[in-house]
Amino acid sequence: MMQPIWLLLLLIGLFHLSHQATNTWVWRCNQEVCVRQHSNKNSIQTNVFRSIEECRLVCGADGSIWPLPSVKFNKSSKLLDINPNEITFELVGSDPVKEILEENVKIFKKNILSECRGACGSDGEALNIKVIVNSTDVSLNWETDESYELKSNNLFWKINAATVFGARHGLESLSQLIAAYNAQDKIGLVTVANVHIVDKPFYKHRSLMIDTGRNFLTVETIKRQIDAMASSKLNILHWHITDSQSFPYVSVRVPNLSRFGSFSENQVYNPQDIKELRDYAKIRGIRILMEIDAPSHAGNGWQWGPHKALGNLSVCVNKQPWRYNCIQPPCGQLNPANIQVYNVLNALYKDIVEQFPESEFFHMGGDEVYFPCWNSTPEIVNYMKQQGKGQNKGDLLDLWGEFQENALAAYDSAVGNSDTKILLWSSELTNPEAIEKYLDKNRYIIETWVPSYDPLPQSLLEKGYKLVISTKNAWYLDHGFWGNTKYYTWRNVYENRLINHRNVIGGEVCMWGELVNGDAIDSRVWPRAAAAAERLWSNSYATTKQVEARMYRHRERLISRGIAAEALTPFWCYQNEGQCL
Amino acid sequence: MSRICLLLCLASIFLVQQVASSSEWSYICQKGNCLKVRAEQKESAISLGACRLMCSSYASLWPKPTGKMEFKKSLIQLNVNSIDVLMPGEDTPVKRLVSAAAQRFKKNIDLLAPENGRKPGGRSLVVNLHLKKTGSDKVVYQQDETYSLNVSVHTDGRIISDIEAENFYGARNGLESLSQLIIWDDIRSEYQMLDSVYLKDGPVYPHRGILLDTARNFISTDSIKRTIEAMGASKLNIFHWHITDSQSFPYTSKSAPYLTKLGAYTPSKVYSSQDVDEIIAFGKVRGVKVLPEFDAPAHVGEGWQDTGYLACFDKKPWQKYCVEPPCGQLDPTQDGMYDVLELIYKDMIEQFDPDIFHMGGDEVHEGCWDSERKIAEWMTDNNYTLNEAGFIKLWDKFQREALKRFTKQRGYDVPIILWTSTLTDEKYLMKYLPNSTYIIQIWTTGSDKQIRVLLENGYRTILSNYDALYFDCGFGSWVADGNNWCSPYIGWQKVYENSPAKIAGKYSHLMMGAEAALWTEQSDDASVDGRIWPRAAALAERLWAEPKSTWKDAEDRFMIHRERLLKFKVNADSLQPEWCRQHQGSCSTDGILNMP
Repeated sequence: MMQPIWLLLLLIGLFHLSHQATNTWVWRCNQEVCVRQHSNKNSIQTNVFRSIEECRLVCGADGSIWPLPSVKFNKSSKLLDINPNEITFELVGSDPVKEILEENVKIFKKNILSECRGACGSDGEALNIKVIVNSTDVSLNWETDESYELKSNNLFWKINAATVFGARHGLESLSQLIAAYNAQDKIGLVTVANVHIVDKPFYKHRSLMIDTGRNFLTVETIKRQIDAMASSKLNILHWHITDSQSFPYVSVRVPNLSRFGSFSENQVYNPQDIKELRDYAKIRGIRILMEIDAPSHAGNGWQWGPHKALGNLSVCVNKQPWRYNCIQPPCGQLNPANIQVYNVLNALYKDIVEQFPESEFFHMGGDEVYFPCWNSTPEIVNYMKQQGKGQNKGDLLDLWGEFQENALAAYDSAVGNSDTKILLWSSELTNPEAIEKYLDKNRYIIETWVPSYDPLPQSLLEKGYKLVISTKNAWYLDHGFWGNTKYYTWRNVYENRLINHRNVIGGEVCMWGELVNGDAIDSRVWPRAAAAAERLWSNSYATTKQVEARMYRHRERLISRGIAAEALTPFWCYQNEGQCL
Repeated sequence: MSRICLLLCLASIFLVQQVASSSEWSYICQKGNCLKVRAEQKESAISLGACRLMCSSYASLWPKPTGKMEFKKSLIQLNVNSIDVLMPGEDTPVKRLVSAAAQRFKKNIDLLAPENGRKPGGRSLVVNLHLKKTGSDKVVYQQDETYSLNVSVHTDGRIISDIEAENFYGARNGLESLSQLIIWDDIRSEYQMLDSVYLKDGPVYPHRGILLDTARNFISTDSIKRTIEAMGASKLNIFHWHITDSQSFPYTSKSAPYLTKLGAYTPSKVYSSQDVDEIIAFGKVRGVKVLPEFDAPAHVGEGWQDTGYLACFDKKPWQKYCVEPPCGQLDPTQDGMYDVLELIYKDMIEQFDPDIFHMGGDEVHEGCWDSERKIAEWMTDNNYTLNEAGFIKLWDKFQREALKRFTKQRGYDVPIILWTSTLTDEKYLMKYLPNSTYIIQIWTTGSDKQIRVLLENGYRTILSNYDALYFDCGFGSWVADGNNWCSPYIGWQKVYENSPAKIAGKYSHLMMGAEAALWTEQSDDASVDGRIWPRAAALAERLWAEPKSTWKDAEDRFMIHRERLLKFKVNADSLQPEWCRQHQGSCSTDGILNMP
């Protein structure tokens, strides 16, 4: 009587790899491509996959991890069904490290359950995951070692990392090695049996910029962006929090800024919102880079100076016709002739420094100063006269330089040292002929936002400046909906390679907020920002055709995780890889 | 400030009588624009909503009314908990529709305000509906949609609104307008409405639609309902449902369930009979007719694999056999194919009860039929030449037989819509497609010569010219590098300016209207709202009113309407910074927001 049972068990064992399926469709891996085919109910099929996601896990060398591991990625083709209720973790590290790891274990579990829309069955094996972090340091900065090693032997996984943030990336990769299958009306999770990954980022500055000055974004919406960034291993959220349209940042020391500058009382970021987002991001290995844009792009929020006997803090505010006073309505530029401006900035900076005490960087904006505004303001013209200056471009540039110097002093006095790196957008002040007169290369990092064919980044590098690059004709995600701008496809975004130079510390995709708010921002940013994420993490030589199936898979992953990423193609092309070329 | 007082002082006096509320900001009306200013007297500050009602043209109605409109610039507090919509008479299907529409009316007003902090009090509102016809509740093609609306305050203090209309659909439009005359005052935390209004209104074009493709990517019933909700709010009346294509077959055919089983992307990406019924009923309450399209003989594929009636399915290289992968065309030479087709028609007729039907008929590819040996053999045997003339003859055979099968199931003739195609070329048009039966939907450019040919030959037409009404344009291509074929993105201004009357010239009586189309190769639930809205609302005013004025005159009201859609949970795209919405007219830039 034993024999038939043994035979049966043996058969089950054999077919564990090659599942028996009664779905309408199954997939087969053929030359690195997952091919959909009819399941045949009448015969047991071998070597078929029960879902496209299961097939994508092991089909081809690159599998389904996004961004692609950059050093080593070996995997077997063996699959294991796992029970999501029986995943045990062993966390090795200092207490502060473990605290962050525990949060990431929760995120990990939530993410893998989202693969089956929360309907995972509990068939399958128990999984053991050991995470070892060597360093006790939980600070996060440009020098943080983000590398990790991930190794698995059947049901035993091990993540080794120097820092907790490297370990987080390891967990992220591991979550992407788990997918849902769907067979005989059962849904469950499956993983790859033997994997070895060695991974680290190419660039240390991998960022997404959001703009809450033009339109307000809720804390929930910003958290979704952070979730998607973590899923794609981006590590810096650059928050252009104010602009001439509104000032939603609540400054404890200068409450008038948001009282006068927010769209409404509800559309503000309180200190607790900021702290909540800061901590939410840090757990996910992401730093928030705050930007208070000045002296331009500052209007609403700064109107109250005269009421408080501080004089005009900002000039040209809401002035019409705007075309003569700024680049975009409403106008507004800080008043460099009024010393009180720097006192207010100093107080505002103190608030920010308190909220980001660890921060090694700060963004001061500095883009698009519109000289005719200053030049038509008598108070400023007089000020320049008193200094024995005229009104030509060089004089105005000097005035701007003076503003920047004073603003920096206001910042340094708020921090109590001169160590913070200051980021500035490229502008007339950063022109190769002018920059060295005004900006110290040891203090400033320039964020260039010129098109890929513009020589500016190269010239600045030659002068010894460090750069973050936001290629305007590829990584400006607002383009395509106004003027003559063109929408950049995920392929354009992916193919944007940065200048290869040690002083290019990274790059940034920008989501200017004039034409997005609410939930719509998800589909404008994602999955295109993920394409940039792979450029910045792996910087691989792969073509978009080679990564297409993996990109489509990552888009579906973002959808599962609650991010309304845009569809890139008919679902048919997702289910039929390589058939839509 | 005196000029402002001239416009608003009536209201200001009234508002001052209200319980004191305080606000740092107030809105003033300047040349038809509401501007945010510091409140001089915090207690008499005017909210943005109140300012818009009194300041914007047509009291901010969207689409703007076509008949006479008179109203006093004075507001009265409304008690949102005391709204009654009344209609005399027995319990009939129409009455049940009215009660559903009344419920929606109340719900949408409710959505204007936050749940907490509403100030009690205000007047009761009684809406009396006077319908001339209360018999059938069917959404008839080209029905009368006009209405008149009256609002006044009765001596007993109640606000009375009378809506007169030929039928439910006109009355519903009246309710829609009435709801737009009610605002939430976020300074006083109360509802307010205009207290004296007379309005007579009706559409210029009977066919005002949105096409949604649910086959390239699946669109959930929730998303479809949101789309229809916004259509109702914008007085669009046709939901053209491109329900199947070669990529997938999500429609559940009762008679041929295997089509869905094989053709759906996943077992959950289907429209069950119940889903379809719900969508139809949901549309009715909102004055929206669901117009199904069964596209054939091209644009079929998934679902039909096992029938043996499919030509060139998923054949490679696809460029030789179709316009986008996967290829697929019905094989017109097989009689059995028509039997399956008839089953689909039967199911659709049972469900949609159509008095107009869309048979697709676009992009038939000669290369597909040509590639199947058995088709070529059949053609040779039956004296069809193997050139364009022969394939057109074959297509005609298909179209004739398909129409016959449809009519057989329907039991009587109904107008059939077809897309422009080779078959609608001048040389074939009159021969194959009688203008008594066929309405032609134009998807070439607005300046295409074919439009004139169609109109001169007496064809009724529907405009979906891709250069203004294809809302999928401007994004990435999915079959190649670069942007998609009809790029760039079409701004709402262009949609608004796309005038059927101008395009049709002296034949405008043959223009049934227009449809904005969202083909969903590059969108699904994640982005469908933002692709369609608020741009489709620009089309809505064009078709409702066919205004002589330009988008510039409509801009302020349009932005207000976009905010309305957000309140109804429709994720309409943002068109400008919020500052511009609070400072109307201050961002005017000839339609181009200037950005670095």
